Amino acid sequence: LSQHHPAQQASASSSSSDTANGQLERRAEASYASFNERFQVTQQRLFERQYSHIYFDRLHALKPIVLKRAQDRWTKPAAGLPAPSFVNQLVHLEIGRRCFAVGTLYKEMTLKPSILKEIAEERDLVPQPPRARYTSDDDFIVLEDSSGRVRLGGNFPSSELVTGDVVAVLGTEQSGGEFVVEEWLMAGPAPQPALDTASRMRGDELDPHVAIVSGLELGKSDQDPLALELLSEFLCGNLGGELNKDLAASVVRVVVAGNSLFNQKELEEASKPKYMARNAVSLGLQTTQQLDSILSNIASTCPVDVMSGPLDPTNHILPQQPLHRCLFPRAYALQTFQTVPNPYHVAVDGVHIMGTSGQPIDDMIKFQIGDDRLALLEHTLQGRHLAPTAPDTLACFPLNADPFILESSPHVYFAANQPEFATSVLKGEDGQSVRLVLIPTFSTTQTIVLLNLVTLECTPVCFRTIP
Amino acid sequence: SAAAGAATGSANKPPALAHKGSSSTGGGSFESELAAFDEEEFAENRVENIENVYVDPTQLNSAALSEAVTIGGGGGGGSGAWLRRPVPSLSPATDALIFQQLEIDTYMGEHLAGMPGADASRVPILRMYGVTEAGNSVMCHVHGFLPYFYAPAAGLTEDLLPGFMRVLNQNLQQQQRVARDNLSEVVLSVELVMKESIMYFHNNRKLPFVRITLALPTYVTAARKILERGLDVPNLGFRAFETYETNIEYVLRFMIDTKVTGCSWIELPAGKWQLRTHQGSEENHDAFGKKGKGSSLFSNTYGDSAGGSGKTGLAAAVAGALAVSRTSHCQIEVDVAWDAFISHGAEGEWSKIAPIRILSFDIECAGRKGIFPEPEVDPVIQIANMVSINGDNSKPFVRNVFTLGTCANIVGSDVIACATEHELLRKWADFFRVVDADIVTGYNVINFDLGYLLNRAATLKVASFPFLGRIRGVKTTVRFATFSSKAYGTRENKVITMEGRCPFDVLQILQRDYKLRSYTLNAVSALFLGEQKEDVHYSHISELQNGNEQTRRRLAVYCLKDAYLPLRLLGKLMCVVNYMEMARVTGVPFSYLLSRGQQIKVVSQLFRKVREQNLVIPFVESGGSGDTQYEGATVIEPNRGYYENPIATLDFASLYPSIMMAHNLCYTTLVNPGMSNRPSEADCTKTPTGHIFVKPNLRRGVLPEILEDLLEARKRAKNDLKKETDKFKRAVLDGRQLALKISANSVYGFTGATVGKLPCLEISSSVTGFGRDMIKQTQEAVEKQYTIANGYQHDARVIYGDTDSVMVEFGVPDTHTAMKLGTEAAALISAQFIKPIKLEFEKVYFPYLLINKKRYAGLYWTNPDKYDKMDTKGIETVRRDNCPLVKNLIGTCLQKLLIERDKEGAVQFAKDTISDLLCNRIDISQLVITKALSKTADDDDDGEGDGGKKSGGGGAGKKKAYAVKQAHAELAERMRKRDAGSAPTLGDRVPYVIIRAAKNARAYEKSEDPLYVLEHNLPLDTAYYLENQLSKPLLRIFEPILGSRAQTLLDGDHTRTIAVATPTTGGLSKFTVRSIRCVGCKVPLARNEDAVCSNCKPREAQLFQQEIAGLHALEMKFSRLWTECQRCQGSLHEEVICTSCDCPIFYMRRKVQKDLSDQHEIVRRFDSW
Repeated sequence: LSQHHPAQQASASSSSSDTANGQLERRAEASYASFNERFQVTQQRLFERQYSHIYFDRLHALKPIVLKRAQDRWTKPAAGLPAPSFVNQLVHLEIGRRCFAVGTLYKEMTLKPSILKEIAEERDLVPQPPRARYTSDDDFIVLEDSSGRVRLGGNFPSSELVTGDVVAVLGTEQSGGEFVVEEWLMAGPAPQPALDTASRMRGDELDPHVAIVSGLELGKSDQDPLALELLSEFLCGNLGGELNKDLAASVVRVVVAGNSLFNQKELEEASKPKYMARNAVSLGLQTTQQLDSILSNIASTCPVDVMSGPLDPTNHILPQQPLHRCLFPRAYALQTFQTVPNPYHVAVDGVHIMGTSGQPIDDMIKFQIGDDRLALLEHTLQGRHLAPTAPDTLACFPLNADPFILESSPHVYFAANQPEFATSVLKGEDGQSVRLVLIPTFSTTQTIVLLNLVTLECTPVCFRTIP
Repeated sequence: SAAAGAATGSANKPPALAHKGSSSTGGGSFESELAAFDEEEFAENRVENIENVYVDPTQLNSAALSEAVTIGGGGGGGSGAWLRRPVPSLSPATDALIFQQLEIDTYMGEHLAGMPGADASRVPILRMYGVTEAGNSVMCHVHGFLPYFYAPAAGLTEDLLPGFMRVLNQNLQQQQRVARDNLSEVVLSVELVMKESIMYFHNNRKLPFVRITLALPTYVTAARKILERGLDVPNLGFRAFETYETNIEYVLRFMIDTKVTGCSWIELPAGKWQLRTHQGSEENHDAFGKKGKGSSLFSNTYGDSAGGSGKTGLAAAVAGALAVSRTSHCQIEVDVAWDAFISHGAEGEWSKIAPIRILSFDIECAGRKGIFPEPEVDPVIQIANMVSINGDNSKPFVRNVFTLGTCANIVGSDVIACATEHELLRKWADFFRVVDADIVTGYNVINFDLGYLLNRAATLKVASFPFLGRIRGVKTTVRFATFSSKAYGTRENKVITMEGRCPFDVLQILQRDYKLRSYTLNAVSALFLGEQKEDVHYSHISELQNGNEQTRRRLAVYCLKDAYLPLRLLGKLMCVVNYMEMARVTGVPFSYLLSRGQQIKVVSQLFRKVREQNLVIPFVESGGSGDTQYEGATVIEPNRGYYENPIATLDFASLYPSIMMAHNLCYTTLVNPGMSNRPSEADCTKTPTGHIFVKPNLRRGVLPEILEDLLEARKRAKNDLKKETDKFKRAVLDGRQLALKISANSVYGFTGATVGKLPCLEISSSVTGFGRDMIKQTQEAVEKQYTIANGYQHDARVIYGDTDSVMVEFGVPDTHTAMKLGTEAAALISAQFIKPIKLEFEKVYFPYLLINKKRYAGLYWTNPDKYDKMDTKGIETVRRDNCPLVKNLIGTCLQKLLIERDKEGAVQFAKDTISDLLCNRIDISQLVITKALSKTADDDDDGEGDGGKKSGGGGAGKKKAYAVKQAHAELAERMRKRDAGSAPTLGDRVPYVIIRAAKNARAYEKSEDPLYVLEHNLPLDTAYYLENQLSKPLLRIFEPILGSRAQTLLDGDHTRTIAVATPTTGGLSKFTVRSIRCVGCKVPLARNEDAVCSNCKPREAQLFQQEIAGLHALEMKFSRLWTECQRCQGSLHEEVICTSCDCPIFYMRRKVQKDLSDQHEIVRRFDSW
């Protein structure tokens, strides 16, 4: 994109003066298909169920895939060593025998928040400091299947992995009961639907784009109101010169990826002791009306998908259900507006776009020593699972089946509400190519991301006002 | 462990799934912990290699061993580790044999040639069991010690003795036993000795006594009775005699006379002992008690227990002094004369402890639904075992589980799968003998597990099973014993005989040493080890057993954990070391400490001391009336209030012992009012109660001497403790100084125990009399000295005094000055008292909340710059009969008052909590009251742990009329009607809450199962909780602070808002139709409206958001609670089946399920969401 349009950075300083021109004359269009059904929770008597089913289903679904890879890789006899055998149930591991097995990882971490500890501490009035990271020297990792557990050791990058990952390990159980790992692998990226580039070309017009914005956080006290105004104007095609307008016109869909609202009071309440939280405080109507107004403006010129995020007034646990229509009386009057669940999966012009409002990455980072969020995003693709740490440290519905398993790899895969923009491309063994994107939080970065549907390149667009 | 569970008094004593719950450090599941044991062993380079193991073929039946050695292998130490180390070669002529004895018993046997004592076919022989420093088990026969006692000569002279002896003998010959015992003489000797009775001061004059020696200890009582009744002594006439020292057990008599104390080291010097090498012939020797047919020369005959039928072995007759066959499973078996060995006092080198084997085990039984397992019917399905060496960090080196049916492999533990229950029991008994533990422990194993196993084995006719002791051919039996003690209350216990092994049940220890809310293994682990423990309802146990090898494995892991936790508790609480030191200090055998009361310890010490001084102790018929009262300790009336100045506490160190020492109070110094030539007043002390004792210049009392020795020894131990750096040795020393302190304090109690061996109220009432005077004297001295008139800043005031301490308000604002004044005052006042009475300054309380007599709270400072802790006495933080809310509320209020010094905050917190209570915002687990379901009404409070004993007649349906209607008993009955299967049975703990009911309903009718309340949304009687649970404790702590304003806590504005849940069952709910109402205004909705009515429609977004916010909170709670349990159980792929109602999150977990479902439904009603 940047080659064609060096001026696409719609900077407020250069273009805020130039907002006089009228509406877009015409907006690019694109085909659209939704795959969100599996994230919609409709089951009854849900909460009588427990979480074990999710793990069971996950292992059941991913084990054959991981096993296939493991067999391909490890059953060729290596020099001097007999081919290792596969042990189907962990309980049948034998001490001293080199073999491989598949199971779910569980990381034992003493610093992981524990409600039991909190209750004990509440009674002692010693508050538990909130922790950004859960890692400590006492951590260890076990592999588990429905038959039992084994502690893992050896050449095992426990810091890269998280609870809930399904992995295959090759190694030998020691007499101490520890399984010393030589090699390990995960399922690898799922197969990817074919992509027909030609159908997305628009001749001499600009390539079509999808705009992804996250973290509008309306209601937050230290907002930059102008940035939001600029964003809205830009998407409606009212901002800047022709180039900007052309660019705006090429946006075939706007994805608002969670955290559109920010409930200051609720967050304050959450930090108070429980007995003080008399009644949950709801967001003022004014803020939701403001959001409704902004989104209906945008939707009147361009299709808008609004995802739910951790700060939004919908259920908290994953998969998050779409925001209720009663919050958007104006926007919902438009055909072009809809609310969608989180995680989110659609195909625009045949390009599969999948993403979350960021919870899986925000949770997984707590298991890491480093700060590489893109690597985590890639990790979830490698593990074919959107949110491996759910349900352990990431809240989710106690469903019968695991909704987060990736049966196919998307072409574009994003995590929203992240501290800053970043992007990379993951190349799979079977020719998959996935564009990974971290969508920054708008309220702190004033930045959105434009995704080129032809090249799958991503460009951050900043609406910061220069003081 | 269905059975084991109820046995410990909880409906569901957890089959041990305990994982590290709350405060685990680095531990995941118990399984990882198990596995880690293997790792360590590997690193330690396992010594036990099967080839090197010395196999004593007599130790076990050989089939058992070969089988034993071939099983296992998957960790758990392997069966190779079962055996003890090989015995080094021993030569009695040149080697001394040294071992630590742990247990001493006695049996009747034939006189062994070359040994002292009567040459008869039936003589008493003692057996000492112990362990050498190298870890070999030893059994030592001690020969020739004869029972004896004294009687005043009362006219008997040397020349009259033969006649006296003959008459006494004749009288005794009439005893039926004599014929059976085949005794020619019962009285072996009578001699005149000069002794002095311990009772009263006699100007130190000794009087002639006869010392009567008998053939067997069993005749002592008979002889006593004959003498008391009187007998016709030739040339003297009819005489009745008092007797002395007739009530001391034979074993204890032996220990006293040979200076053997409990757990002391015994040295058999070279040349003084004989080694039994003869194994007995294998084919005829049958370890399991089928008696030899008499054809074998070496058939085992020594194994008869003391009460057994008297069979005379041919062995001794034939083999003479050469060889007698071994009778025990111990590795080394020897003979020694009673006066030929050395007993080392526990000082210096000899305070070490041998490597003692401790076996902990736990069984699981598959009960039927709703019925407490009965050994006649319900099978034993698993037995888990852990064996550790004392002092070895309590890490078990043998870990295994015997299972009925296959069981998948468990890393770190051997799984010994058995096809039949018969095989399971047989193999386990073999294991038990091979592993040869010195101490057998577990949780409630004495009262439940062992008895169950023995009965089960009898039912299944497992002939080899009931031989669990160290003596071959002696069956392990169970009998009931009622133990009654002032200190410990009355408990009915089972006594399991296991010759040579000490039963050491952790539950019994805890019940003795700790006052707890609950004694379930679960609660105890949470308290002492900081772990929550998964708890599986026993209805699940049969399910798991009937599943596959995986489900049985899951059960086995629980079972292993239940065997492991008692070991950890022993280690953490230092039980073995402390009890051993107590045995050494007081001189009683180790096993007495759990099976006997406090008195025996003083008796042992008294007899030891008395023997040195040629004193004798009269026999006193015990069981006298216990109603003699004397004035107890005094208290200076508390001046109630909240003190914001430091309060200095002056304590008399070891008050009662030091009074006895200072004033020479003793049996031997008490002047009998009827005494003819009384000593002069100058040589006497008249006590505040008017009794007269002589001063030490005339006679030093025995009790003061005992006390001096104890306190001197304690001082030494404390000094050594300061110097010692080795952790284990420190523990031993600390255990010793504690034991010494307890012992010193129990001497006073002994003299005051009217139902005792030697009560002497003159002593005990004088002691308390002195105590009272001293407290008053201290008060006067302080208030006289520390006055403004004497140049101090304030007039000091004693605000409270109790037993041995006085609380002084010096009026100074800072801890530094208060401590300085306190130290000064202590020294000043100490000078006024006779040595060794000493007033010490230890601590200040600042601030201090004095509620009433024996009820106070304060911050405890020993260092002027930083407080040590919060100290509370007699406040509802420990009471067992209230709900956790009370404890938590009071605890928090005290924290706010004392630590944060925030009175308003404390008041606000109390108000908020009350408001939360009335508005139904308190978690139900905070309101659960728990009581044990027992047969008798008065048994419930302390009976929590001993449900097992009632198992025999227990079970559903069998229910006696309750003397008083009790809330929990009524509830159990109601639950039984609802579902017999899940209702609590006798011995179970019944958790209940009080619900709102009809106006005149009695309290016991308002109890309800918390789970039922959750399911049906029954309203709780919050007013009951406020009035009956919270109000008194709250007023108590707030009245000193708020005065009359305190009442507003209970009826202020915050109590105006009340919320009541709408029940979904019972009462009016049958007649009401629940219509769908508007979320906003509660107006019934029309058919086409989902969540809100047309009036509220404009507010829909806001209402929706409100409901969503509620949903958020519940969702997070749900997720966190259920993942916590998933983690705690140590498996992600299996459902949580824990039903531990002791766990703080159990009810929360159930409640959030329901609340979240309801909330979810409300949110879903909003159109098309």
